[in-house]
Amino acid sequence: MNPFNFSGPQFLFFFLIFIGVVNIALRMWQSHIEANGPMPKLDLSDPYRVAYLRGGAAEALKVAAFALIDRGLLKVSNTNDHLTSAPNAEELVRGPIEKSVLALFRKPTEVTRLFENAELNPACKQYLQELTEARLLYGSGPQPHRFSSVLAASGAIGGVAGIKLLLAIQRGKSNIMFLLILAAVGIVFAWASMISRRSGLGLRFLKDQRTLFARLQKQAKYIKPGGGSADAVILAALFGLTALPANAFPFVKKLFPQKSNSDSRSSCGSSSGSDSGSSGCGGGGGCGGCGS
Amino acid sequence: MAAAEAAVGVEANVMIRDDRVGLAWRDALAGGILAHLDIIDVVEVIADDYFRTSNRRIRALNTLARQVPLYLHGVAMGLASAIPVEQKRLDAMARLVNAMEPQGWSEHLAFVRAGGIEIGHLAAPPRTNEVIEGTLANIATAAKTIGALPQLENIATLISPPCSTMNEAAWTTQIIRLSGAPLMLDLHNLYANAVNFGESPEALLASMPLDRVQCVHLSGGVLINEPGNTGKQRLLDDHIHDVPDEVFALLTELATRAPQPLTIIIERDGAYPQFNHLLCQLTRAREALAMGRARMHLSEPLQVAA
Repeated sequence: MNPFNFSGPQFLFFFLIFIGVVNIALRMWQSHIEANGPMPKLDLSDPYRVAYLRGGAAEALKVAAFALIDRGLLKVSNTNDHLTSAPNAEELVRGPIEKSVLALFRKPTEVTRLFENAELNPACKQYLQELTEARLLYGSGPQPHRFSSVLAASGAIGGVAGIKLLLAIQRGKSNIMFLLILAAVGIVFAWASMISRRSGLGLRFLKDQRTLFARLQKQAKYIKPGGGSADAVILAALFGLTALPANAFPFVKKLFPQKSNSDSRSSCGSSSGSDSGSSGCGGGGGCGGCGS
Repeated sequence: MAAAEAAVGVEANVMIRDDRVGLAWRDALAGGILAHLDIIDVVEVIADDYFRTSNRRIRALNTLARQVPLYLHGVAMGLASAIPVEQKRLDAMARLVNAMEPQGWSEHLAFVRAGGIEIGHLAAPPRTNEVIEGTLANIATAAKTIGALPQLENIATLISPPCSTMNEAAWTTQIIRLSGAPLMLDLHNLYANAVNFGESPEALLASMPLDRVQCVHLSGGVLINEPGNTGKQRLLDDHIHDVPDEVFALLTELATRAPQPLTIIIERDGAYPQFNHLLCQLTRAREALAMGRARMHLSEPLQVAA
């Protein structure tokens, strides 16, 4: 039952499973290590922050644009490729990200401009800093614990491949190409875990928020457009724009086709859309005169 | 008086610093609550909804508790009864309290089952010494199992509990004083009972152990006809209507009389309005609270002079 004595196809099958197990264990280990510790306190009243955590700057900006369109502060051209801010809209919003989106579209401008240099948007940089300080995202520097675990995983995959390689050479076999390719893919996949800037804690935070709002997702079809409630924005922030009912928000699919969501940072979410942040009540928490 | 209240507005703002105003968590309100956590100080969750739920949902609630002060509210323990409280319910609450680490937990001064039959309703028990003894024993058992005393909430009732030997205020006060538990004062329940039994809401409020109030529930109700075409009506506490002006006035009165920090929670269980409307109710609660604090501040020098 020594796997190194398996025949070529049998060993490749074993090796494929081995690579899968190693990579799953690697990610579980990283998630376990990173998700330890108390959940930080985060200002959840700004859904754009959650959108940033889910999908980065482009997602946060996309959700902000969605929220502004829904509230009538950003107008979509007839051709569905340009946006224009409504007059005086910048005075009606709160938060720098909404202001920056409105400023970008003071004149009719192509939607794609929204994503140019998204990470350099000051509001997004602020989100990155806050989320990094909260340990939900990692900064740009290397993460030692990830590096060491990836090194160990790579060593395991490379070691098994190396032993089989030596045995194959000793036995005079020359068909080692598939073995090398599989090993390379397995190691690259392990190193890919270094790319995600979202920490295990960040992933847990998103999952918990999604659990809290699972019912909202199930009842998404009842959400009405017009910024009357925060539900649409929260839904988009947590689950992506694709979670919104297409019949209520037909402009979403035209403005933000799914392929543009490549910015998403990790595999946390099934949907790729964005979200938005404001409360959907006109940008303020107050309720004006309610006649007490 | 209004001018004087305005004059001490600044001080009132200082005094209200430790008071908190929040909402009861309901799935239908979750989006609005999350988007307005900058102006919602506290959230209350129905504990019973999480007694038989997945670890994932409990963990999610725990994450929420890290973001905003959270209270657990029980609805089916039946503490106010000569019948011993069910240990399985206490264990479930204890597990939840351990997992959530809430700011506190609460239950009603009601009975919900008898003789193995679930009433499915918060019922007012006979206000007798026997029930007080049973209630105190239940509270002690609960505190021992869960590790903290519950906040005890007064309930609304459409009928005067039969066989009672004391009134609601005296009965409640005895339980609160003897158990050492804090009072969660539901002002709409108090108002409804006053309306239904021809009492003055202000007098009923004054006769409650106000120094033991920590949390306050606000909600709304509707007048319903008495059976039998008597032409009379009774106030049903249904949680699907706005908080009436009279209840906000009672909150002001409470804030005048109770100097300790108060946590105010608005309950809404259905017929949900636009979330901005609920925010308006929160604003009104803050205003009522601030007015009471201002009056309290005004009355202090007078008391010293007297």
